Amino acid sequence: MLFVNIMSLQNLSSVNDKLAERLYIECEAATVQAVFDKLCRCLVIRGVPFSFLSPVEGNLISNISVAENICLPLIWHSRGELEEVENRIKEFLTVISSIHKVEEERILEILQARPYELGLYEYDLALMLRVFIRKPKVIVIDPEWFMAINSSIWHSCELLSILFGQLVWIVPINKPSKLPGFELGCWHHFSDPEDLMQLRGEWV
Amino acid sequence: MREANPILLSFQRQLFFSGVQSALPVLLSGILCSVVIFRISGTFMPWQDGGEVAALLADLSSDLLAILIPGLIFCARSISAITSELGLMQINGEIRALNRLGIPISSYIILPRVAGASVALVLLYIYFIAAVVASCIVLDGSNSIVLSVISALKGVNAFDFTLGIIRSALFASILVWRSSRTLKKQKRGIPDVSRTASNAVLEAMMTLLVMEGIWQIAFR
Repeated sequence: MLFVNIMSLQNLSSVNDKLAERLYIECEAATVQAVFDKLCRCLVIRGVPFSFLSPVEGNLISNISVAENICLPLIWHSRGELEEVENRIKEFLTVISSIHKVEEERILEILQARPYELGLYEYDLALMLRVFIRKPKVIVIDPEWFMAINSSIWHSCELLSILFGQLVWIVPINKPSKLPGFELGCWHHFSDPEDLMQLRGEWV
Repeated sequence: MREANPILLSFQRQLFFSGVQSALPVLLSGILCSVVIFRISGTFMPWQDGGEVAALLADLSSDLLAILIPGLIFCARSISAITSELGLMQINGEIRALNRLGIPISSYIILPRVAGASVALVLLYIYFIAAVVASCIVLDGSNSIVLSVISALKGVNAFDFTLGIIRSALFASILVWRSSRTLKKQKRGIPDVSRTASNAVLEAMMTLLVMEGIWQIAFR
């Protein structure tokens, strides 16, 4: 049985400790995936901007373009902010092209492609963009995801910095074998991307 | 990068795939039906002139053929595509991902497909009748195009035409809604998708024939 702190969502802004307190609200779900689903649903209902990263599911939708994939959650939940979406994409592209030497034309090609046409690197780029563009306050992570990723795009501190710069909480929902200082089902706050990089290094 | 409303995009795609891509088969079947009816008429009712046959053909089309034939083409073209698409989305976890993103499946996946298919089948209904009327111009032996068209259109009853439009939309909605149940039935295996899709096509064709049969027997 996994306990997920759902109620403390209401107090996100008032808690500043790295390890948040948890209120023991029982999440009666038999599997990790079911817990994942339940937690996402709670966040949606409460209107908290969030993203999730899972190695198993939750990837891009295959019958729409990468650009639509990226914009879909944002447009669905907050219609009429297309200019902001554009600005965020431009900001992201500036950083990614300076760090990874990706040409802007190549990125435009990626945005127009279907997910199944992408290589591993491009796929992760699109996934990262989808996470980034929502300005998530919470990222629900199955820590297995950190071990499943292979492409170098997630290994950059600068990228994690812009991705997780405004990140408030991470919620691990599964317990990998090596998980130092990380409590299952708790809210973990990261204001400094270096901490996250260090944590990632410990995991992997 | 400008993205339109995702529901509207999905609706437009469905309209294109179900409507535009079925246009040629519907046109050809409309022409073929006209040829067959004119041949039958020439063999068994040689005393009838071309105008009368054209009116009969147009009446038959607006009441039955323009629903059945585009409907069957729609089943073959679109029901298989919708079923296999939804099945693969289910297997790949994309449905679950949409749920996690807080995007309702009924609004984003099913509703635009039902609406797109309904509009497409209504357009195909009108298109089939237009194809039949256009064929009559060639087949009825009249020297005047205008007279041929007028003769054919005499057979189209406004009430039947309206009912045909309503039935087309209704049948398309029911067929797509039934095929979207794949999401519940789909097992987690790629080989299962093709079987589910072919079963869905067969089921949709049977449903269409039964619905139209009931309509013809009960309300005509």
